[in-house]
Order: sequence, then C-alpha cells, then structure tokens
Amino acid sequence: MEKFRFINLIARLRPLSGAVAILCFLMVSCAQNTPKTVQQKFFSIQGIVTNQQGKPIAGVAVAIVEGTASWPEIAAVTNEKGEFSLGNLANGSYTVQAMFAGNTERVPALLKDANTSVRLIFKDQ
Amino acid sequence: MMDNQHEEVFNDFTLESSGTSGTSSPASHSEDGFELLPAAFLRSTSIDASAAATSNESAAESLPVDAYFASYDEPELENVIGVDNRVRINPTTGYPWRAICALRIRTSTGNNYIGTGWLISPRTVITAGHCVYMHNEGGWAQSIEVIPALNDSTQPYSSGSSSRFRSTAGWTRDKNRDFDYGAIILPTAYRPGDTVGFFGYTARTDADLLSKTLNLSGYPADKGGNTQWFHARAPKAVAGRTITYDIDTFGGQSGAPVWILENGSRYCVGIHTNGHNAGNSATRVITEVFNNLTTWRNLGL
Repeated sequence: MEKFRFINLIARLRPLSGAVAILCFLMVSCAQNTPKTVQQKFFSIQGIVTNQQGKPIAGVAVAIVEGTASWPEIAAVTNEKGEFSLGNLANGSYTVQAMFAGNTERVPALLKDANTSVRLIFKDQ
Repeated sequence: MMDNQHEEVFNDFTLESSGTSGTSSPASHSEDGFELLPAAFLRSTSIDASAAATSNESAAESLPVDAYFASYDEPELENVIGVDNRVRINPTTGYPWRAICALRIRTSTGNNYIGTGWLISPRTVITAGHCVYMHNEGGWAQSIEVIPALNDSTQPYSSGSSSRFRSTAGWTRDKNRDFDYGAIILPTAYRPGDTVGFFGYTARTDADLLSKTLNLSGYPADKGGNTQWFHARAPKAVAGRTITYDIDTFGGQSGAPVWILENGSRYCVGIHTNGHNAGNSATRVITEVFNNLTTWRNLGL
C-alpha cells in the first residue's frame, strides 16, 4: 500500500519535473553570475640594505623595476636600520632595485599569499 | 549605473595641519609673465591653466610633445620601456615644469618615501592616493614636504610641509587601484601656486585621449629623486578608469601629472600611479575624478 502511494506521488509530480529542473538551472546560473565583491589581496616586500660587512645603509632609495603584476611607482627610502617596505603589491614576481652613491643593486622577490623579505648588499667600492 | 564600490566617495578624514610649516615666495607673478587665473575659470568639463610657453619649450608648440630634447645614454630598465627616452628638465623654472613638485613623504610609522605631485590651485597638490595613504605604513602619511621645481639642491620656490590630505574611499578602504589618487592641502602660509601657476585638468572621451600625445614629468629615484625628468608618447590603451602608456617612468614618479597640450594649454588627463612590464599607467580623470579634484582645488584657494 505504501509502495503504491509513493508511485502515485511520483506520478503526480512528474509534470512539475521540467519546472523544477529549470528552477534549479536558474538558481545555479544566478549564483555564478552574482557579482562578488572580492577584494584583491595585497602584500609587501620588506627588506634591508647593507654593505658587505652587514652594516645597514640609511637613505638608500629602493623601488620596483620589473614585475609580473603592476606596482605603485613610489620609491622607499631606507631608515637608520637600512630597512624599507614596498606595499600594495599583488601576488607575482618582482625585481627590487636599490640606488646608492651612483651604484645599483637588484634582487628578485616572489609574493605568494604573504609578505616577503629581501636583502640588498652593496659591495665596497 | 550603480557602482557602489566605485562611488566616488569623498573621504573626508583629514589630519589637520597641526604640524604644518612653510615659507612662501613673495612674487605673485612669474618671471615669464604667467597670469594668475581668476577663481571663476572653471568650465563645465575642463579647467584651463594656460600659460605662455617659455623659451625652452617654444618648439613644443609645433610638436605634439611638451618639452625640448637632448641626447644621452642611459641603461635599459624594465619600466623604462625599451631604450630610456627620458629627458632631464633643466632649468625647472619654466611653466609647466615649475608646477610639478617633488614630494618627501614621512609615514605615520616614521618611514620615508619619494613621490611627485602637481599644483591645481595656490595650495592644492594632486598626487597618487598611495602617496598620501599607505596601507602598509599605518594609513595616512604623517607629513609631506612639497618642493615645487626642485632641481638638484636648488629649491627655486622654497618648500612647504603639510599633514592635511584627501583621497577616496575606493583607495583608503578598498585598496582599489582605479581610485588611487589624492591631494595635499598646503598651509595658508605657503601658496606656491600664486607664483608658479598650476595645471588644468579635463575628462575626455576614449577617442579623444587615443588621438593625443601624453606628457609626463616627475622625480624618478633612479636619477636621485632631486631632478625632474620628462617623456611623452601616445597612449597605449584607455580603460574606464585607467590610461596605459609606454612612457618611461620609475619609482618616485607616482603622482606625476599626465597631461595633453592643446592650443597652448595644458590639461591633466591622468595621475601617474603604476609601473608594469606591459605598460605603465595612470588613474584617468573622468567626471567623478574631475569633481573631486575641483572640490580639493577649492580647499587650496
């Protein structure tokens, strides 16, 4: 008896199956097309500039010169500890350049879902 | 079209100029007869800061670019696209070069940065949003020293410091590159625009922009950050809120003006912000940007 009731229920719902399928399709489609306010994540390249003896160099201008993503064209200046930070960077690989007393040093930096640190060493002249 | 993140919310968070200082030059007119513009020079879609061409750029009137040229050799850099074609501006006391300012930025965390800005009124300097608000350095800058026409150790129009800034919520809150622009309001005691003049600005159509030559001049760190360097080229692409170009730039030129020369008048159409291997770019002056610049301009009259 229960079996017949179930079959009867299925038979009555069959005409609605097309509408249910269309409804499901629309729901999935809407979910895919709903604009998402995904905020892009940004990271920083932090670093230190030293001489060959490891002594920090202050007042060195540091900037990005190459990257797989775009970068803000601001230049950081190292503090008394030789430290600098370049922020608002998306995931990607970059080249960082430091400029001091007419010399330049470059180092690669990779950002992958986290900040990264680099060290630039100026050779003694 | 509703554009909530893109609503050009004027971010009114202001660090008042408690720490401001500055000195003003006494001259109200420049040496080459630049006439100050009346306050009511605002047009519906553009502001014209026209000025007489100086001798060192007189040839530019018949050329599509806005400078004189020199030949020199430079190392090849990546955001310098291909061969480095930048030209040093020397002297910097002619218009429009003198309306371009070197920025010395001190963050609230005590660190220092180099940027560029440009005057749009006696006391309003436009720059990149990331020069006045740095997410990785505690937000709003602690102070910015503005040095118009800096030329090596020479500061022909002195300098002034301010702690009063403006930017957009799209930048400060959302970190959206499309809204990366801002302003520095100088203290009342320092009004360099009265002496050096200032740039106009305009919102133009895609087709109009693509038909123009873009001019860009600023203070790149690879040249020491104390000298002004210029380059000009046609745009590479124009998007809703950005302009991309192969103009050679470098770190330190963030905030530099991107302008067109039209019938002897300079109109800024973008604020240089980003480097990229595929093309450097500016935040484009569209109607919403234009309106914010005008609001900020009025703060510095």
